[in-house]
Amino acid sequence: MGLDRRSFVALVAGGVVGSLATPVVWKTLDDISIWSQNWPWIPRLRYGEESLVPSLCKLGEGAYGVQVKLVAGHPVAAYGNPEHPLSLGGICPLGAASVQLLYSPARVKNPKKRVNGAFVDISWDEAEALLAEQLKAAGAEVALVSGDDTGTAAEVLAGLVAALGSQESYFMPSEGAAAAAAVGLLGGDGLVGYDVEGANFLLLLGADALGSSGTMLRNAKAVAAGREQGVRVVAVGPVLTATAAVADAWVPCKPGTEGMVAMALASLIVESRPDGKVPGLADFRKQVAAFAPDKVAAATGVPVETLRSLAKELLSASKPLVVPGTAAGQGMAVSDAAAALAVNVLLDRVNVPGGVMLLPWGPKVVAAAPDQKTMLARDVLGYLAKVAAGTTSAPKVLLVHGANPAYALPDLKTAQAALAKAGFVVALSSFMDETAAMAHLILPDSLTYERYDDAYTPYGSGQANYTVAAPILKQPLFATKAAADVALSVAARLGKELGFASFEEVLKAKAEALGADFETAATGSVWLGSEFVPQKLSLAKVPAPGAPHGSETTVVAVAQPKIGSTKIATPPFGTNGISPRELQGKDMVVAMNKTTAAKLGVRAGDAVTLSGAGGECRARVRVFEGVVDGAVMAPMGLGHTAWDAFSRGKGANVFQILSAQADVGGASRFATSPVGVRKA
Amino acid sequence: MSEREFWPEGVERCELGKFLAWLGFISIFLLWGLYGAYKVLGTGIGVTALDNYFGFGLWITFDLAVIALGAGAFFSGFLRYIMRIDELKNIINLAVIVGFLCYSGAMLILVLDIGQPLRAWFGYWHPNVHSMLTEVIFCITCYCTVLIIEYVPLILENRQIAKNRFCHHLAHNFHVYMPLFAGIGTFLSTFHQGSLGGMYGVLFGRPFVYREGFFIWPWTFFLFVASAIASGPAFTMLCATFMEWITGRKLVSYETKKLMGKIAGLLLCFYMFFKIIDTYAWANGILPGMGLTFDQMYNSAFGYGKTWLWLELFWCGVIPAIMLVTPAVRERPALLYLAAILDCVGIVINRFVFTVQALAIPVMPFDQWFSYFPNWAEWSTSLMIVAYGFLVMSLSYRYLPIFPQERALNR
Amino acid sequence: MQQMEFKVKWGMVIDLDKCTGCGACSVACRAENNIPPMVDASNKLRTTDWMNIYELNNGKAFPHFEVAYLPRPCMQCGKPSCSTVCPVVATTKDEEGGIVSQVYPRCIGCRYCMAACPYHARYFNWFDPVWPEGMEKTLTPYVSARPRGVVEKCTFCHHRYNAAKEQARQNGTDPLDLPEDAYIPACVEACPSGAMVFGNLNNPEHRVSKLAATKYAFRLLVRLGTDPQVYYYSKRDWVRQLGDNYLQKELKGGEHV
Repeated sequence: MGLDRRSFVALVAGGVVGSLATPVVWKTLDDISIWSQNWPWIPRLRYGEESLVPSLCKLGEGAYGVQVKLVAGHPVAAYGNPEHPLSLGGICPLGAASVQLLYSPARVKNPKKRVNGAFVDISWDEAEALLAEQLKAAGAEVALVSGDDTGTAAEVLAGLVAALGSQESYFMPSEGAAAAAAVGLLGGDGLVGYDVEGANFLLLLGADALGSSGTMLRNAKAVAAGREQGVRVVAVGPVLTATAAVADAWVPCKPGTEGMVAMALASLIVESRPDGKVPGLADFRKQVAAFAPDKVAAATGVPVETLRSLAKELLSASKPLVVPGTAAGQGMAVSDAAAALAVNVLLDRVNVPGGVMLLPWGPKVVAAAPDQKTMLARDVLGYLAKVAAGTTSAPKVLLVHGANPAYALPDLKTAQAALAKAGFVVALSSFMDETAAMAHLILPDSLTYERYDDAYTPYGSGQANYTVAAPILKQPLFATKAAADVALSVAARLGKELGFASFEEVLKAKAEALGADFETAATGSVWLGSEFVPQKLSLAKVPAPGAPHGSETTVVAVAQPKIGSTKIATPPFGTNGISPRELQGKDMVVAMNKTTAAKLGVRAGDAVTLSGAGGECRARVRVFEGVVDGAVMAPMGLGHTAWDAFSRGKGANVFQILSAQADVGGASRFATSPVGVRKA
Repeated sequence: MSEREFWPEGVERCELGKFLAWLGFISIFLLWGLYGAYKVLGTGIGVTALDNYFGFGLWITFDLAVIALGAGAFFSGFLRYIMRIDELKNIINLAVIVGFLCYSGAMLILVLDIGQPLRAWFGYWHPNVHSMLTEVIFCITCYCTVLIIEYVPLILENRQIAKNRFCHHLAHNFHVYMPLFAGIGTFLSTFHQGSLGGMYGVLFGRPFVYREGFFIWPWTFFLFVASAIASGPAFTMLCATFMEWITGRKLVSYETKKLMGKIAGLLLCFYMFFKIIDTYAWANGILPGMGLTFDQMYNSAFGYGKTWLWLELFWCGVIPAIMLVTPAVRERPALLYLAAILDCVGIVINRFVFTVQALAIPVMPFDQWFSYFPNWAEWSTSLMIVAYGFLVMSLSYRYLPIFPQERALNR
Repeated sequence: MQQMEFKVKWGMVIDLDKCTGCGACSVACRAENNIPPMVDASNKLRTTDWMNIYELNNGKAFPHFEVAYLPRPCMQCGKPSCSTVCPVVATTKDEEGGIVSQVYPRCIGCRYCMAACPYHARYFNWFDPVWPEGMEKTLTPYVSARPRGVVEKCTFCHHRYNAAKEQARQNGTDPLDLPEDAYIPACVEACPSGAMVFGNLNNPEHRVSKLAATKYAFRLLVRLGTDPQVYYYSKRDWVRQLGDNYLQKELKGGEHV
């Protein structure tokens, strides 16, 4: 067979052209481009009619209104609610991740009881029967710990506990409770709020008011808007919080000395107004005499000039407002809050526009329940400490609702020991949190989007407000049930009628008690109260504020909603927000400044062991100049041991090293506490 | 028919058992690489150490390096067929095979490296004519085809295959058209070597590689062409020497090697001259214009110190350039080979820093330096390509008459 | 390539004196654009955060230390370094509004655009996306889920732009003259600090164009010639100085900031 030049060319060219003329090549290429964008394992989108439904976000320490986007009836995303006074369109990182949290792997999807150490799924009927049986056997030896200090669900549960004859119903610690207690010390009465919108000089004594504390979304919106009108913000505190980062000035002070700063400012104000007419001023003068600026400067690390200029600013501003708090958003000393309140009183900033607002307590609708004031005044830490120590008998049944005391309390080992001593722990939790993991019975609570929920005047609100959230989903996604409905049902089984057939009815009654229209409230319209409780505050009994810790190093816990809250571990959509500033690999990162690091002989990246009064944890060092000398800044919300892969085993839980120290009137502070640092 | 009858006429080869053992040894790397490729294609490029900062890493460095070193094929072809330097006929076959291996290997790596290999042909269907990479896709695929066309007649020259009249004629026809293919190859190859350089030179967001230039081509376009032709001949010559060392037989005359060394040397001088000017102009013109300093481009703590620069430009640039153009050095085999090795290493370093260091440098003032080190998935697949080269070269050497001088040199 | 001129140029101004770095924008973006959750997000070179938040500081020691948080979406550059290099026209800047598009079914995953972008605004899908069981039901209908092997980035929630234009057409108004706030991306909507403002930079009535014109506005790496449509705003000199690279001698005069 010969092959001349011409046939060679014809062979090659013909082969190429011939194959291109067949559809094989083109069809294959077309198919490939279609396949490569339609792999069966890539989820498809679901289309349908879109709507926005109002609801509530109570995943963090406060509560605020959100709007949930529904597509064909399914929730897909949560947005801030521009109509809600505590959102004003803003949303926190937990709220933004809330829809996906419905499908969190950590959700408990049906009731479970512990059998021989392991959980066994049971029916709701069996679960409620078991709880009723346990409660019957326990008699009055029942206790409740709830994290829902704005909602009526806690009232229903506390009503059940009270109906059984027990007064052991507690809220988890909160800034709101400490602030309210401080008001009580000064002879006042009411929930504490701040008219941030009305103030033109905001002195934040420790409060991370734009980052984690109080009505942070609304605070941030107010400050942003006020900036353009010349509102000034000064943040005092041991660490450069999110708020301090955007404040006009950050005034560093030693951990736990914000109260002393307040007293020094008070002494300067008193000094400049010799003819002041505030009730109890004479006694207060004596009290503040011990807080002369030079002495306070030495103890707090805040220079005398700074104290003087702050006092001057407070005196010259037309609407100054002093807000106490901590970077932890909890664990504030009541005495520190009282000192800050005293400054506000001195400046006549109570129940005036731009001042501290003392708001009416929420009305009680479950007759048997303790009222909000009583509940808020009770000290869960003291109770659990006594249970652990054996000085109070352990409850035979402990109900835990919307709270995670096995993770989020100082002196954690003590709290865990107290839980372990309880005869039968019932977790009314939506998630497999640390408390649920050690419970005997889990009665999974539905999430807010699946049930009724409400919030009355979260701490920091400028005026009383009440928000009702109707269920967004017709049915809970899993076999879960609203905790309040469980309480009502179990109460009925025990013959201890609480007066309501359903949680919805309780909320109707609550709305009615407030004078709100339930139907409008349930469609997202917020009830706003204009009432302020008339006060006769006196400075006669302002206690001495918290003193410096006296330890070489002090841990400063910092709450950041992006990592989680005391109720919620990092949600699936939250992992990316945790930066190497907080977590490196599996290690929590703690920050200290160069001076502190040099003193401790550690360098950036070193692994260290932190030891508090109650325990130890491991961390890595970050050298960061936004921390006062001697302080070790630690992120809260890490170190979960239950939950799911999104949060479990990441870093350490700072509550392991936080310890509570006694403050006035049996209360305690724990936002900062002494810690030892050594190389791991 | 014994296996011996497939050997080229009049040459000796090792016994079949030994050869198979050698192939078995190569296969270890091939299999490891195949496993790596399976993981990459099966689960995603996430199994590598690449990340959002280092989107390019070992694979792209490897591709650019072998494409530069494989430039021996087009440039020798150019000199042999277009410029008619007859001496090069002794090594042109090897140059073609090396070129084919480098280019086909690079394309195999690219199949792994792009996230959607099924869409690789989009470069033809939806081309962005403004992208240097489009040009690279065009030229590399076309040139790889040319290299196949150049390689096929060599296969057809196998003693047994050539007995087939059709194959014989086919091979003959290919040979007749070889100058045409050499010409096309030269054009394509020059362009894509340049475009590979242009790819980096146009990145005005990356101060380390950005260059001004001539018309649409940044200076790197020309520098990459120059560096490729300065190292390709040296690499081809080293390949021949390496094969001689492994087989223990003389394959290419030292005269031819010296010629290759001289060609490489002259081109390296040319390249280094402009590369040094370019580096100077970059450090004193482009960087200050961007508000950056020369020192900010280097950070030894992360593995990107100025050592690389010294190695690239001096020890593996100026030094081999001087050595290769010095006749006395070329007369001494050890020095010639050393200079050729330095030449090749210098070009590889150049491709590495342009690929990896360029991405390691923080551009936003508040960004950070990061390090990149390839992991097993990248090493295994890259080594697979090297093993593939060894495999094809071993078979070609054993069964194809690549070296025209072999019979005479081993007489 | 010639820089295209647009009648409408969407842009953002982010006030770094207001941003607290809370991260809400980033999470809102994730939900809106169907970016899958990551179990382990500790290797920040492998995470996908279209809205990434950097922490800047003034480099001083305690107590003169300051920080600022800088949220970084895609800059939607006027002269993009990325779209010009894409070999397959998978990313373009050719639509009225000036948003740099990203076409996932077209992308071949070569990552050349990522190498080109000095802002690290582009992200590669290293693996196929995974949602925990059931969570895929929360996907929004706006952005298709991306398979592995393609690059993705912020698009200023382009679907919201389409929706706003559609709404304008239905209302009989000009879709190329949208009123302020008719179209804002999810991040801007979510921001609780009021730090982010969004609008048409070519419309002098919009707040963005007013803010962008102030002396406190700056953009990142303009010296490279990218001409970003995202502006930052700060009254602090050190923050503005961190927006670009400056030689020592340039900073003395301070004229660049």
